Amino acid sequence: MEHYSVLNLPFDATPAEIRAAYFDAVRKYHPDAQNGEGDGARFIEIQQAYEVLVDGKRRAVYDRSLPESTRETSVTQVGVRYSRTTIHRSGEPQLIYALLDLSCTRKIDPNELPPAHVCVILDRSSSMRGERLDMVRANLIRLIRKLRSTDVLSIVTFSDRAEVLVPPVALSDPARIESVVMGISAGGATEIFQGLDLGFEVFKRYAGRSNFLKHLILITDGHTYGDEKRCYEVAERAAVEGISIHALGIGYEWNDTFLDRLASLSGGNSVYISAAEDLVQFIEQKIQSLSVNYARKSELVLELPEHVTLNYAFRIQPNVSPLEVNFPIQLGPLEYGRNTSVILEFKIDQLQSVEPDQIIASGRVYFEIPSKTIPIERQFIEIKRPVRNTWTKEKTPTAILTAMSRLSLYRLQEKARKEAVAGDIESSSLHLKYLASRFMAQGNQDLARTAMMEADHLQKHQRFSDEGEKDIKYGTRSLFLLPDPELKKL
Amino acid sequence: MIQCPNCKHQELPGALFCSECGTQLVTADTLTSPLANQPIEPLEFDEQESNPTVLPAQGPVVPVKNVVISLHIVNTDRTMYLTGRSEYSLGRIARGQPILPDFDLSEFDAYSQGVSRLHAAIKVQAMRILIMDLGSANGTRVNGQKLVPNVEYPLKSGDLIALGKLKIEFQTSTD
Repeated sequence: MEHYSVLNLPFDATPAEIRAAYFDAVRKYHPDAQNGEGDGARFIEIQQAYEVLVDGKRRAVYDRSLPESTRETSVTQVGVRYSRTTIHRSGEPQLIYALLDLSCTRKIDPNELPPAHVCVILDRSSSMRGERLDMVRANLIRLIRKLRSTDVLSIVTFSDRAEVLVPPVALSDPARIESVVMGISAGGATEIFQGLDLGFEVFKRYAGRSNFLKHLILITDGHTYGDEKRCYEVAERAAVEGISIHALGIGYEWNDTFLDRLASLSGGNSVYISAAEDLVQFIEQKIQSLSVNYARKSELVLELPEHVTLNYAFRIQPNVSPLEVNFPIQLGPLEYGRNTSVILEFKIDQLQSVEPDQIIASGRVYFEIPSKTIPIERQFIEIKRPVRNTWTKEKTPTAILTAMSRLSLYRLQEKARKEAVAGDIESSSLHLKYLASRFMAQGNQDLARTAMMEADHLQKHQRFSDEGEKDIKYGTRSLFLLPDPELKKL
Repeated sequence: MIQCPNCKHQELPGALFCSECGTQLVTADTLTSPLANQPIEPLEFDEQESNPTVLPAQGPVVPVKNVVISLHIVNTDRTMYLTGRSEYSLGRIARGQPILPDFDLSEFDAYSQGVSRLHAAIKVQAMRILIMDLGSANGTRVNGQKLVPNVEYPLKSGDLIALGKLKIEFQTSTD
């Protein structure tokens, strides 16, 4: 196997990175720590790769033996925009926002598009019976018909146990898979871990071609009890393997906080299916994004000085979703022709240093590009600003202001939810009413009404309604999909 | 610390929006002296009803009883009265528009005066009345001062509002 890939390194890895990757790999695959089949062989590969790469001369010889394409300059870019041009030297804490734009500068090349392995994990518990299962069946068939003939599909169904309904197959015989899909029947309870774990196994067993895009689509309509933690562990392992989890909740009786976290741990997002159109839209979007995928995963690692904290991270495009603030942060896939944009809120506790510039964070963004011989690319980023002794009023860049105007509403909604859970009904309903005023001000009367009704429900029942919490949350998220307000014409 | 002009919540310097009520705290436009910094005149209340412990001083959307808002379109003999609600949007109705304003100003030649379809909103709160530009194309002015879009500004009786070029005199009275 190719040495860089063995150690998960980019072609331009620095000696320090090579050493760090080697120690990481050794810790995982050392004979003393062995837990999986084939780890022994892997360990030998790691040793060989390290010995070559760490030695400048041997590395140069090895590099020349690799195909020409590996030496091409990378086409991924990471841009940073800031809410302010300067920060303030002060004993008082301050906030600054950074908008990260990941982009691929290359034009789409159809020959480079990797095939996809899509694994659908379907909840077939008894609550799915009837309309819901019919809707899912119809959309699975839509998916089967729209996937390319090079793509691979697998289907796992679960209730309180899980089974592989369709093992990974190339879509050369869609009619046969369709008939299997039509035969799915409902019954039993919901144990998401069962399905998720088996789905993950399906990916691992189908390791034949590693350059696939790997998407796991979880479809459920219910709560899972007691196995949340094990589900998160699967999501974290999935992230390492470059598998992104998209979690679809049908109806109102599912736990959106859980599915959100599950999805964001792996770079995916959660989607609210309140009607059949939502599922159609999701499938269409998925097909579209598979056909323009450049990097199947991107992740962010930052080092922060002691007095700086990363308060919040949120992906505003594509797949709008809050992100887990735990490094590495999974930023999700990168498409040709469309940026992946993430907004970060940093809090700087106090700034007394006499340095003219302050580093707010420094680190790296890693991309995993299945079409390349050496799939890893790495870009360094540095988030820093000049420091001034006085606080100057300045104009905020429109892109950041627009993103934050939406994000501030999303966070207001999060705040109200947290307060309701904590029993602070008064604050929660006050925040809901503020939210309603904001929606109204933006001309979004439906959302305003929903928020007002929810405030009312909250006061009567001391908790959010299953329906209202999701309508408000995903409604606020959908604001990010609106065109920018400054484009509004007379 | 910086203070939210709407709800008086304290935010860290550098914050762009109030985390309590969502008000925009910074300007994308340059505005010399925001009206929001002027002292806010409380509306007149009956002694019994103005108990501040019952009515949150800066609370959202709490309709004021007994206050009638009148909007007199300058250079016409027409006056519109706003009652019974806590929020009114002003604009004009055009074909194929998804969201309609509560008050349609089309008959006052709104289009050629530069009024947007959803131009501004007037909100009645516990202690005050606010106006907010809804991101209109030609902007909203109060007594000649241009408003930052989507930021609320207090109104007092006698203020002159301009939606684009359409001038409206704002008056309040009690029932």
